[in-house]
Amino acid sequence: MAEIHNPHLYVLFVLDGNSFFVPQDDVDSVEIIADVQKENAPGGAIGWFFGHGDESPVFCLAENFSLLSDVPKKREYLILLKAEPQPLGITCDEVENINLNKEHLDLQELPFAMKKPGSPISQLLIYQEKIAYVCKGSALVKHLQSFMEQNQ
Amino acid sequence: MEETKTSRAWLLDFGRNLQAACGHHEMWQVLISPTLFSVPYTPFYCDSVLIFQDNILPVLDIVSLFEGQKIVQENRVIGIAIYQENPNEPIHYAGVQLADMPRSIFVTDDQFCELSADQPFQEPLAISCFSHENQAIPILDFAYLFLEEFNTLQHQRI
Repeated sequence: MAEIHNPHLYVLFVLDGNSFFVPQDDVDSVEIIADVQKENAPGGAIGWFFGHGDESPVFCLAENFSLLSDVPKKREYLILLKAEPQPLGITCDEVENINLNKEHLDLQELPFAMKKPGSPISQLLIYQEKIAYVCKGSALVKHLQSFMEQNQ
Repeated sequence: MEETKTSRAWLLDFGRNLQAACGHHEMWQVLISPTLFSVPYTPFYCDSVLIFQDNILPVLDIVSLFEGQKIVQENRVIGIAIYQENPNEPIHYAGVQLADMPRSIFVTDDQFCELSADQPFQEPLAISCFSHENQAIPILDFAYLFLEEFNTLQHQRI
């Protein structure tokens, strides 16, 4: 049976009080950080998540997308992004499923003047009277893979 | 005898002796110390946004743009500029960081002067220039300032 695609479904993840949205279709699963094994982490990653038949490197990002080597205490979860050859994880403080339509949230394109090559952010939205950032899963994966290449 | 045309304009002070003007209809509102939100992974001259009438507007800092680095100025006056890429396109709004409140002035055709080569506003960013209080004041094209073409050029320059 074909999967039902709902473009309004997003996963909201929080990094240091900043909200990021990624399409639910781009997320493999949400896991808890207690399941991350920190031994022999590949370049740039903080550890591995073993599950669903895959070994997934897990990364810890600051709110400006830079790499953190020490995991802040608030990071309790990780989202696994769909990627080849294996899913890639990002730790986060909070995570939630959000239906943009039901929450009456409107996406706005990132203005031209704010675009920078390599930025994972493609859109913005107003969420709880603050600005939240919208990223495509593929852009986040590309960003994480660039860390892996740099640290090889 | 040909009649001299007079137009209203806003004189904009961006700080650090950087001035320009725009048409009176191109500045919608001025906000004093609005809440700005930083957006990561953005150019240093346009790294924040504000919420204006349920829309998210970029805030462009012209001084930082021309200085080539982030310049933090004390006053936070944001002009809400209006621009249109062409007459058939919808109107867009954007924030422009100013050092002071814009001044409403009258400009006549007699005040026309050439763009000075020693200031940063050049064509096509400046569409014309006039003399005001012994200074050459460029007239800004906001549409070009916020256009993809101009911003792509900045990435290549940085």
